[in-house]
Formats: sequence, structure tokens, C-alpha cells
Amino acid sequence: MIFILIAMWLFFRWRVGAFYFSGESIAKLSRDMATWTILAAGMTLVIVSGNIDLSVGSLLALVVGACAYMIAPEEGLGWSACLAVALALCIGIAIGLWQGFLVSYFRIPAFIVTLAGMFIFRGLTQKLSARDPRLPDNCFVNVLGFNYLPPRVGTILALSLCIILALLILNGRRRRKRLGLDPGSPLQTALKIILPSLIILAFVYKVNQYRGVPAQTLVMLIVMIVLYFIARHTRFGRHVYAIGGNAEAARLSGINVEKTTILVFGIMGFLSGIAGIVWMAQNQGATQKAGEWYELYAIAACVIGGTSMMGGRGSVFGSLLGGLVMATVIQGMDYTGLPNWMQLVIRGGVLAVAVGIDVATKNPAPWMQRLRRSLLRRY
Amino acid sequence: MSSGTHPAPILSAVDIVKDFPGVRALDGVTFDLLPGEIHALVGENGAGKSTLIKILSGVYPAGSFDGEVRWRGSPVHFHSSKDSEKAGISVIHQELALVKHMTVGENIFLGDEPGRLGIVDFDTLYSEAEKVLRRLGVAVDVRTEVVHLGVAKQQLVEIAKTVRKKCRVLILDEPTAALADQEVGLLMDIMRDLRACGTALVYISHKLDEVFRIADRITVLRDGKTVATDLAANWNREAVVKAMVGREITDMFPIVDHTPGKVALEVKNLSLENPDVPGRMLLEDVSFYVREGEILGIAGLMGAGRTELVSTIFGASPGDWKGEIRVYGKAVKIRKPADAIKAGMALVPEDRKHQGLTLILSVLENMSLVHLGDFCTAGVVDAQSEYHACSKTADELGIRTPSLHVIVETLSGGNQQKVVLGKWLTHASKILFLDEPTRGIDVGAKAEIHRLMGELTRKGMAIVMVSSELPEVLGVSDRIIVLRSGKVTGEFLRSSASPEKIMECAM
Repeated sequence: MIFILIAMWLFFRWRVGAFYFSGESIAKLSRDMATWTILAAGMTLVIVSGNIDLSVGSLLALVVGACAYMIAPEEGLGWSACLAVALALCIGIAIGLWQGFLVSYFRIPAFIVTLAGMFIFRGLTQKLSARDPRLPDNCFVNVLGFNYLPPRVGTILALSLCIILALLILNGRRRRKRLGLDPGSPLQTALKIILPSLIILAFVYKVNQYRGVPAQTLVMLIVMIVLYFIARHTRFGRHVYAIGGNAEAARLSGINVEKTTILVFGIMGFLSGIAGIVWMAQNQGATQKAGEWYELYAIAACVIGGTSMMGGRGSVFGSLLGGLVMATVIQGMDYTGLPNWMQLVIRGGVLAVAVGIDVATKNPAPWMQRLRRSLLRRY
Repeated sequence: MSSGTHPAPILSAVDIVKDFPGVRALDGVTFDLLPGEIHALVGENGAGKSTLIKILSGVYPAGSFDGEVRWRGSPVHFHSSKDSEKAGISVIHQELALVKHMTVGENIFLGDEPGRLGIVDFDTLYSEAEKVLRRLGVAVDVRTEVVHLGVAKQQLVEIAKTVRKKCRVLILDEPTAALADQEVGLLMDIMRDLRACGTALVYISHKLDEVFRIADRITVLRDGKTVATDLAANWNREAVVKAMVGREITDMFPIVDHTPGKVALEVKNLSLENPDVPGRMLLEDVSFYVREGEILGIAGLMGAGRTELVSTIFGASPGDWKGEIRVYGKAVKIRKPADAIKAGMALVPEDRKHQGLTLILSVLENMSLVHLGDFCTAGVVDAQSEYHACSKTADELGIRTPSLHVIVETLSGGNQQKVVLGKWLTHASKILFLDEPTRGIDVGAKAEIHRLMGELTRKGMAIVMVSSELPEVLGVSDRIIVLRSGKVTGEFLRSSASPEKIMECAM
């Protein structure tokens, strides 16, 4: 999949020109994908647990609407921004937990619960955002929408991240040696440290040439790292994968399937809230159409990134990759100035083709295997 | 193998070599099947039986292996199982290929429904299905949904489905895994009838008693090679086992001398109501006890309630139950498996693929799942200590795998069962429930699991074992109880038990 991404980047570079690889363009890419990629991080856990959440776009809109309504002095209540943000996040968490509760204790299929949620929350949003509540200019939330990390801070942060990564990997290597396990070749360890560091540093370098790391991107990356940690390194994360892989075996192993499911949806709700705050900052207020289709972008990002719809398989950074692919397509289409309808068609087409190519290389259908074999024999 | 006076083989494999990434599954296997014979194929798990069958039936198409498959003497190239079906080869797989929510009749005619212009003629379908079942002597209502039948009846429906199509070659892969003695006899009658009609049958099984009952010839595979092929009459059980394993297995059930200690588990007056049929009891007033260092065998026919008994005590009961459970004298309230685990119990369930393991996860992830808390600080998993503990347990159990990170689905049945055991052994449990621990496992791995059970009892664990194999129950248990229709009908010490006495109590 990473090759497909690089191929796409090269294609757009050719079509759009040198601007495509400039700091501004890269910064814009990372900004635009921030909201629904945050959703994709949570969606990864949801899908891995064997469920699905179709309501996240509408929930995001609801959070945006509620929060903007609370803050806006003219169209709304004029409350303090801190209070509003805190309350809005609580709304997100509460709704998430509620949906999880319906799924695990009432055994209503997640598809239906969240589909219903999608309609319900959108309806509530339309009422709350009917007058397009605007955020005042001096609201601190705007920071998330328009600010950038000063280049020096950005560089220091990136360097410290790389150093922390190196320390963690080297530490892991030392502990493995102490337990008598194979630590892997020095080359492997070096690559594990160098490759991600290069990517981080290259990104920061480029965006610093523009204005620095966008605030939204920073939030997105923090969310990704935290979710990755939860998924891979905590007991809760393991339980999520176990439930998605085989719920019955998980239950017979003593895992509390209901509690874990509720928590997964709760986390999704919380992340919908965070994505909502970022969206609100980016758009300086609320609209009735906030977050439209975002649930599908999130799910698409997960699937492109290798998450299996059957549950039990998937990774957070894979979803980040999937998000990059989707964002590349969307932004690239924008630059080439194609009519809107054509953009939608191509967006869907790319999704199908990208995943199709991925599946064909990893898990080809029998007729494909036969074709490959007969071609190999010919040459 | 003399060839002069024999008729020509109808299906043969000549010098088959099949590689998978990292392993050579078949290393020059030769096998031939004569018309009108029942030819048994035996070998340890991993010897290559399933691979050979998949090649003969076209699942692994021509081109994916070296060597030749011959039909009636001439080379043939199957590109899919459809090709082999057209030639007249049918396979009954270990995993049932039935659609659970369709009726028996619909399943029997699946893909081949009678009717015109695409409209199904249900009257013909059901009457023909009834005829097929009657001819085979199977008593099942053709209009019930398959999901309501027990596993044994489901297996018979699968057999009926395949046998209905006139085939020249029928391959049966472990067909009796879920059948009780009566049904096994029925299957053997069906096989003999087919043989009389000229059909050639390949019979794969771990149950050597059955093999000797029914087979004309036996072929033994070991490590991907054909070790021997001969008339069943020329062989005996020990010789076959030796050929399979390559060494003498004199003691199938190593008897370990140990003296039992305190009473670890006591169950009193356990009663379980049938959730589907109110008023009927799945378990009635069951009481028993197990001591430290002791193996209690639970015998009985299928449907007697053994699995329900064990599931209920473990907190996974199918319905409402009442009774008393005491662990080391203290009464415990068990509502869900987590409660049972906290009380020191462990369960290796009957269906290791669907209840015991998460097939898409790795060996390591499966083994650490139950007691993950032992490797965590504040909810964060310590990967190194997890790996350390699991690899130690894997070594102790003798799990054969290239690495702990391998997906558990790729392991053989015996190794998978050891992984399920390993889940519980990373942390000292006091009471271990084993439900059919050696079902579908080859002789070598079986002996290993029995040896492990002996070692665990030596360390003081109390073991409750449910098994349908009488030799296993008689050979391994210290004490035996027999269930029939949910009631305890007999209790024996190993010394005073005999197959006849147990059967009498069970029927």
C-alpha cells in the first residue's frame, strides 16, 4: 500500500508541478486529513473489536453544534470556551458509552445502533446549528484552527521524538538480550530507528519552510500515538483484538466482553468529540453539514490501512496510512480542478482499486493465482 | 505391492512433491486406489494426509505441485474441485459444509436443487431427500433446520448429501469424529454398500480400531512420505502405530503413581434446566468431587450432559441452574467464566477452533490471553516478560512451532490443543477441566498430552476429563463417573472399572 501512496504522490507531482511537494501543500494535506483521521484512529479499535460505528460523522457535528452553541455570544449562550469544550467532550463520551451499552447489553447489532445514531444526531445538529453559531475571534479554541507550531519548537519536538523512539527501541533490545531472547540483527534495529525518524524529520522540515507544524496535525499525531499505545501495549487493547478475533473464546478466557465493548465505543465517542473541537476551530463555528460523510472516510481509511471488517485484525498506524491515501486522492483531485461529480466518482474508484490491488498482492483469488502461474511458466 | 493380479487403480498419485513456504509437505508420495476397495490412509498430524487429499480432489490445482495424478491410468489435470467432482470424486471434509439455517432437505440438494427454469420444486426435493435418508437408515426429519440437530446427526446429513451423488471415488476425512458407536456402525454399513456397488473409498482416521474394522488396505504416511501400503489382514495395530510414529509406543497411557490429597472441588446437587424445552432437565442432581493430584474421568454417550456439566461449573452454562460448588471447602458463586477463573479453575473446551483459540492471532497472543494481568503494570503489557513466560510454557508442553509469533491457525491439531492448555498453565490453576482433550489428534500427540496430565497431577492439580473414548477414560482416570441423560449412573475406581460396566451405565 505504501508503494501505491508513493506512486500517487509522484503522479500528482507530475500533474500539479513543483508546488505539490512544497511545505504549504504538505501542511495543507496534513491539516485537511486531521479531523477524519482522528476518527479513523478510534474506528480502528471499533472495527477490530468486531463492531462498526456509522454515527461518528453525525456525532462530530452534534459536538460541534453543541459546543459552538454554548460559546457563541450572539446565536447561542455565550458561555466560557473552557466549560463548553469540556461539556462537549462529555457529551461525546456519554453518547459513545450509551451506544456501546445498547450494543453489548441489548445485543442490538452495532450497524443498526449507529445507523440510528447517525440520523438522530444529525437531526439534533440541524436544530442546534440552525443559526450557524460563530466563534468569537478571541476564543482560545481558534488556536487549534489557525495556528502553527513555531518552527523552532517544531524542530525540537521532532528531534526529541526521534531520540525517544531510539531510546525505546534500544531499551527493548537490551531487555530482550537480558531475557535470553534474540534481539534481531543490528541492521534491523538501525532501520527501525532511522526510517521513522527520517519521515518525521522530513515532514517537519518541509512544513517549517511554510509556517510550521499545523496545530490540527499535532493533535492528530498525538491521538495516533496514544491510540497505538492503547491498542498494542495495554491489556485492554489485547482484549479488543481477542474479542474481534473470537468473541466466544474471549469470553471463555475470562474477558468481560460487554465492558470492553462499551469502553471501545466510549473511546470512539471521545475521539468524535476531539475531532469535533478541531473541526469547529478550523471552521470557526458550526454548520448543519459538519462532518458529512466523515464516518465513511474513517472506515475507508481503516480498510485501506489493512483493518479487516471481520474483526481481530488491524493497526492504528495502518489507518494513518489509509488516511494519507484518502487525503492524497481528495487533495490531488482538488488541485487538478476536475468537476465535483467527477471527483466523487474518482474518489470511490481509487478506494476500490487501492484495496483491490492490496488484496491481490496479499491474498489473491484462485483464478488470479492460476493466471500468475501460467504467466510465470510462459516466461 | 504386487500388481499382476490386481485390477487397474482408478485413482493414483505418483511421486507427488508439494512445498509450502518453509516446509515440504509431501516428499515423493505414491498412493493408489483400486475400484471397490476401502483404503485407509493413516498418519500423524502433519504427515501429509490432508495435503494429499487436497491434491487428489483438485483443491490444490495441477501446477501447484510436482508429480502426477492419474485417473484410470492416464494423467489428469484438475484445476479445481469442480473438475474432480465431474470425474466422479467426492470428498466429505472434517469441517462440515452445511448451511446451518437451511433445512436438512435443502442441504442435501444444495447446489443441485430439482426444478425447472430456476424455480425449485420443493415437493420433489423433500421426498427425494427422505428417500435418501431412509435408504441410508438415518432417522432425521428432512424439514428441520440443520442448526437444531446435534453434531452427530449433522455429520450424517453431510454424508447423505455426498453419497446421494453417484460417485466413483469417495474420500472421507475423519468422518467419525463426532459420531457415537451406533452411528459409526451405520456409517460403516453405508461404506460397505458403496463398496459393493464398485465405489472406491479412501478413509482417513486416527481411530485404528475403526480402521481395522472396515479397511481392505492401509497406507501409512509419515513426514510426507509413503511408509508402507499393505492389506489390512497382514497388519496389526502395533505395527501400524510403529510405522506411523517410527518408534514403539508400548504405553499409550503412561500410568503415573500419585496419591491424591485434599478435596479440591466438590459439586453438590447440580441441576440444569433445558432452556429450549422447559420442564426437561439437562442435568439432574449431579454430585461429585475431585481431589488434588487426581484425574476424574466423566464417561457417557453424546447428549448425556457431560459438556453441559463442565460448562456450567465453569460459568458458561446454557441455562438456569442451581446447586452448590465448593473449591477447597469454600462455597463459590460462579456466574461467568471470569468468576471460575478467579476461583482457580481452567477449561480446555470441546471445540478448540471455535471456543478455545482465536485462530487469526498468534500463538503468543493466544497463550497469554487469560492471565494477561500477570504481565501488566497499570494496564500496560510488558512484552518481554509475556514472551519469556509463554516461551517457557511452550517448551514445557512441547509445542512444535517455528516461532511464537506464528498464527495459531497454521498449527496441527495436537499443537493447537497444547496452545489451549498453555493458556491456562502460565499461571498456576488448581482445577483443570478437559473436554475431549485428544479428539482429532494423532497417536503421538495423544500420548504427550496424557503424559502432561500425569505431570500436572503430580504437581497437585485436580483434573476433570470428559472423554468419549473408553480406552482413554479407562487408561488415564483414577476415578470414573458415568452420566446418562443428565444423571450420574455409576461411579468407579480405575481398578474396578471395565468397558462393559461403563457401557451398561451409559446406555
